[in-house]
Amino acid sequence: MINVGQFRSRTCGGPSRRSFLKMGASLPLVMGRPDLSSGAQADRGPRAKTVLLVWLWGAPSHLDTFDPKPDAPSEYRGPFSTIATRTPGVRFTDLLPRMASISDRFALARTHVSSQPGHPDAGTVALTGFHEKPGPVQPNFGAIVARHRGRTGDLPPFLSVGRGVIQDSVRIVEGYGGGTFGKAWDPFQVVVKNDGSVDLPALDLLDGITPARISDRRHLLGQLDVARRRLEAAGIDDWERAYQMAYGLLSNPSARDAFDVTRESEATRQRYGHTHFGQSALVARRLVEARVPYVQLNWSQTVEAITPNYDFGWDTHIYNFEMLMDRHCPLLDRVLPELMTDLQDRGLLEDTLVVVISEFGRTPKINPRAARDHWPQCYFSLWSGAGVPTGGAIGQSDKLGEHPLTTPITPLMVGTTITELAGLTTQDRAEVNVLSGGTVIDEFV
Amino acid sequence: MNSSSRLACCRWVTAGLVCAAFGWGTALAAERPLTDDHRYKRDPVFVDAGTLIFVLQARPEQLQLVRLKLVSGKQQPVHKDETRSELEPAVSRDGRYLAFLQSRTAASVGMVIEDTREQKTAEIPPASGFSGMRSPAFTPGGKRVLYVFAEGGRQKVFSCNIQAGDRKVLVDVAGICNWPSVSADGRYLLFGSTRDGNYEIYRARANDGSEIQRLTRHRAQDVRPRFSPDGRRVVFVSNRDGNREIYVMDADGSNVKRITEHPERDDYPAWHPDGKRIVYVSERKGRFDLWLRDVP
Repeated sequence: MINVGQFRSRTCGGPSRRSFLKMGASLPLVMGRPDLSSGAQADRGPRAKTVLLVWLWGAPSHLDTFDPKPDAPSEYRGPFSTIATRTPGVRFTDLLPRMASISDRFALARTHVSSQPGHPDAGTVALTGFHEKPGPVQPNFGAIVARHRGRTGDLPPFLSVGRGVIQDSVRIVEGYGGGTFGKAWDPFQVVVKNDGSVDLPALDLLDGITPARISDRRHLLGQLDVARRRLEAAGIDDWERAYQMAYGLLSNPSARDAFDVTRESEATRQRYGHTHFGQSALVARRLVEARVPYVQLNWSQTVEAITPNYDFGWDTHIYNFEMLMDRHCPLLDRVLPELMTDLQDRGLLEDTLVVVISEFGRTPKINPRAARDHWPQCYFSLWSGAGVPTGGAIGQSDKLGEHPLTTPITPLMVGTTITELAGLTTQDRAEVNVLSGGTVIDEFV
Repeated sequence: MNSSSRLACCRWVTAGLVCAAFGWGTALAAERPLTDDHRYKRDPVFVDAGTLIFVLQARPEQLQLVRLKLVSGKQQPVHKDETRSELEPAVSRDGRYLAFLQSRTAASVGMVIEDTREQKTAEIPPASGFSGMRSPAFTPGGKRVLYVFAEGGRQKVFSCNIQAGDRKVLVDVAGICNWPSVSADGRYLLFGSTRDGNYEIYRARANDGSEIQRLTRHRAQDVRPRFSPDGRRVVFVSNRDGNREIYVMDADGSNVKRITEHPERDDYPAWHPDGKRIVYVSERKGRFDLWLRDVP
């Protein structure tokens, strides 16, 4: 089931708020049918028609996952054994057997570096390529791709799937959205619940518009005026664009279908797993299928691994080994292989770029609490699809996993590579004054 | 648990009682589900033969202690108004005391010992900064609680009295120790440790942690050991056959038998008080439920 904004139906006593889609079939197609297949024209255009960035918020340990150091001293190595993968010479920890079994479907980059040791700052750097300060905050890679592509159909071009704007216990990540492009280029938030149902908070702005009144043009114009005032009050200067996205979704059942995982078979839903991240990944796959230019799939909204009222991110200052063994890695090892396999089986991986990344890694040396802290000097990412060479490892970290031995990969390089694969040239980037000075990761482009 | 879940559970229990009454022991299913809500679960432990407590991910932000009555299938939060995460419950043999971990602030977890009869609690608060205890377990007489705590890079086995005082280090070896469990006669202590590289299971004298013996030897992870109620067998979890499954062995580490076999994960085993069955969490088709099965 999908729930749209704070919709209140005044047409009958039954359905009420958050039940719009149940009535969706009765809506007039005011905006026309979205061209969900427009991205399928593969004869020209970018290698990555869609970018899916999987954001492992909180920063997983690279040593305990994809870059283990089995020969390091025990105070570095950690408790996990390593297993062979389908990539010659590359081993993962035994927490990731399924990922090991499909390692020929992605490339592993092991030499990422960040300049920031704190989550929000490093999050902004990782998602924009630049520091938050002195500002202004640069646009998220998703905003850059979205602006370049523009809007096709009724789906917004930049969607963030998870539980809302990413944050830590202190503040949000400033680089989550439009940055210098303005709030109009913020991601459209898709909030997934545990059962896979979806809320679209942006449509709260259209609160009061009902299916019956949507065809009453006089009333509709009045309601839209109210909506515009709400958007202006929310600081969204480009109200027309935000309104169009919301209204397009409100009025077009086909567009909304992209969010509705109940249209998947139960077998498919089971393969992803009935967890929040599993069902969120399935929503993300549907959005890729609908050819949304940029989708960011968030592991969690908050970084903290165990803190009251935070949703179990990867920030494992305590319980690192237990949390990875008990919860995080089994979950990741179910969802990521399924997501990549599903995309490949549907023929989507050919022109979809999947990037799995975080804001930094974790200390190679085990801390006094038998866990791991922040480590921006070396971490990993996974790349798949869009013609990226797979089944190999890009770069190498040193014997303790502390520093890159080969060329370091910076967030600016990540953003430049993503946007390049998504069809932006150096000139395109220069024209909108983004990712200045960035170079691509040669192996991927 | 919803009404259909309660009905399902009642049917299983009724069938079991009927079979038992008529001596149809072999007619009992080797395993049966105790829940069918499919939500993420962990850490089941029996309070008595008809009641267990487990941890449920009640909200995306909260792990909650839940009490389950086997006969009715009825589930209730142990602490109804609690919004912080609580996990890793342990129950004294007489059911009077409940020990568990409670999330306090950012990466800061305390251990609570609750006297359910007197409605009193004692606690070991987290140390300053990031800090947390793990894996509480009662001694057979219910006078002391074992737990693990990391300091100086080593995760050690400690014990404290029921008032959370008189804290002592019991096992201090290189690496990470976890999952202490004491035999019914109080003589032996089981625990997991990485002292030899990866997680293996060890046995030591329960009174002072001496005479450490290694019980498992495998490249895979052997974790979560628990003595059977009579102290003669040990249930544990291993990924030695590719994914997480449940095994039993004799208390000296011999006679290892695999007792679950599913393509997905079987984990968190706990003995039924009768010593003939275990409850555990099984992930099947992406859904998490509690299962009860006989141990051959």
